[in-house]
Amino acid sequence: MLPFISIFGIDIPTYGLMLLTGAAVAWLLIFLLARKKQSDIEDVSMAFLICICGGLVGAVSLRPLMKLVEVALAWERYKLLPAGEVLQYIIGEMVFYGGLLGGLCALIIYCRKYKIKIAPLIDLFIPAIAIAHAIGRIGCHLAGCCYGIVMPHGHPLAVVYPPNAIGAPSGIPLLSIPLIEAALLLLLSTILVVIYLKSKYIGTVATVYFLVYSTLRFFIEYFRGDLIRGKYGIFTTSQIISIVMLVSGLVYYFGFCPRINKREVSMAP
Amino acid sequence: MGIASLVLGILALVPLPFPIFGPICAIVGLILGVVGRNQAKEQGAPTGIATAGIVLCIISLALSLLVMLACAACVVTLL
Repeated sequence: MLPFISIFGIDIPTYGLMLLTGAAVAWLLIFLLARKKQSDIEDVSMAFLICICGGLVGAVSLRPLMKLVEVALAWERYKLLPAGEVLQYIIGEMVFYGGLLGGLCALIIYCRKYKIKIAPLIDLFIPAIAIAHAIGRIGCHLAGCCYGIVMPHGHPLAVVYPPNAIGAPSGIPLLSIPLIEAALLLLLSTILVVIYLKSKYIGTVATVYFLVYSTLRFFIEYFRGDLIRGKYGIFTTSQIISIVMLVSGLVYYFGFCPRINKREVSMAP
Repeated sequence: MGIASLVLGILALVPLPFPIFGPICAIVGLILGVVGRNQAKEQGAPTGIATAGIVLCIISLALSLLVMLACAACVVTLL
């Protein structure tokens, strides 16, 4: 709806502005929660920065990687096309799940190198990731890069994108999926903050996030209109990742968390 | 590593032919800055340069990301 905003005569992309706002709000939330639990703010901030780096690399890498695999598997068809067209197909936009995976991998490598306990750090970062994601989705709505299915004219949850939207077709009422997801993520973030402050069992926050968000995202995908993002069989890429995330959450909670919490109890003075 | 982080942070602000170079320089600079700062802290050395590198890389990452996204948005709307 508003891909660019003019500040002092310079056109700034609103999607980028929302990404930066999300990162800043996320850091502020981490700062407040870490202070509440008396964690070392400097160590937490450094880990957060590493997470951001991993997240950015992951966010821009996931779709190209998956499309590379697709091109490799169907090379007989793709080799007939001009090289520039194939390259343009492979290089894609940013993907949240890629960012989540990239950030998590970066955090694991960082914590292993500096012998920092990773599970409490993941619990600390997760509510912030959810709120940053919510703000990022508002950016998606402003840019018009993500959109929902076609809706009847005048539907209260529908939005009509103008001609300058980045990807959404203009003049057609489309389900306002980015805003719906942003509202749900904001609610989820609030719940996760409460759980973080109340629960003493390490891993609860991360597990709730993995289970709830993966389920939400799985069903939201059925209402997305931008299926050019990729589909494998009956599921979209994000639905497949959601299933993996759901199973991973259960494995994490029932497989790893009892050991982590038992070790914390035995090490307590 | 702190000095490398500072240099990369400055490089990320330079308007290079391909907008993707800015964020790449800033991300690499940020990682080097964090690692350099941790190393200096472990050895009891001053962390000023590494911290300066980190701050510069954060600013340059934010700015170069905005430039890259602006370029990408322009290309998509022109197509």
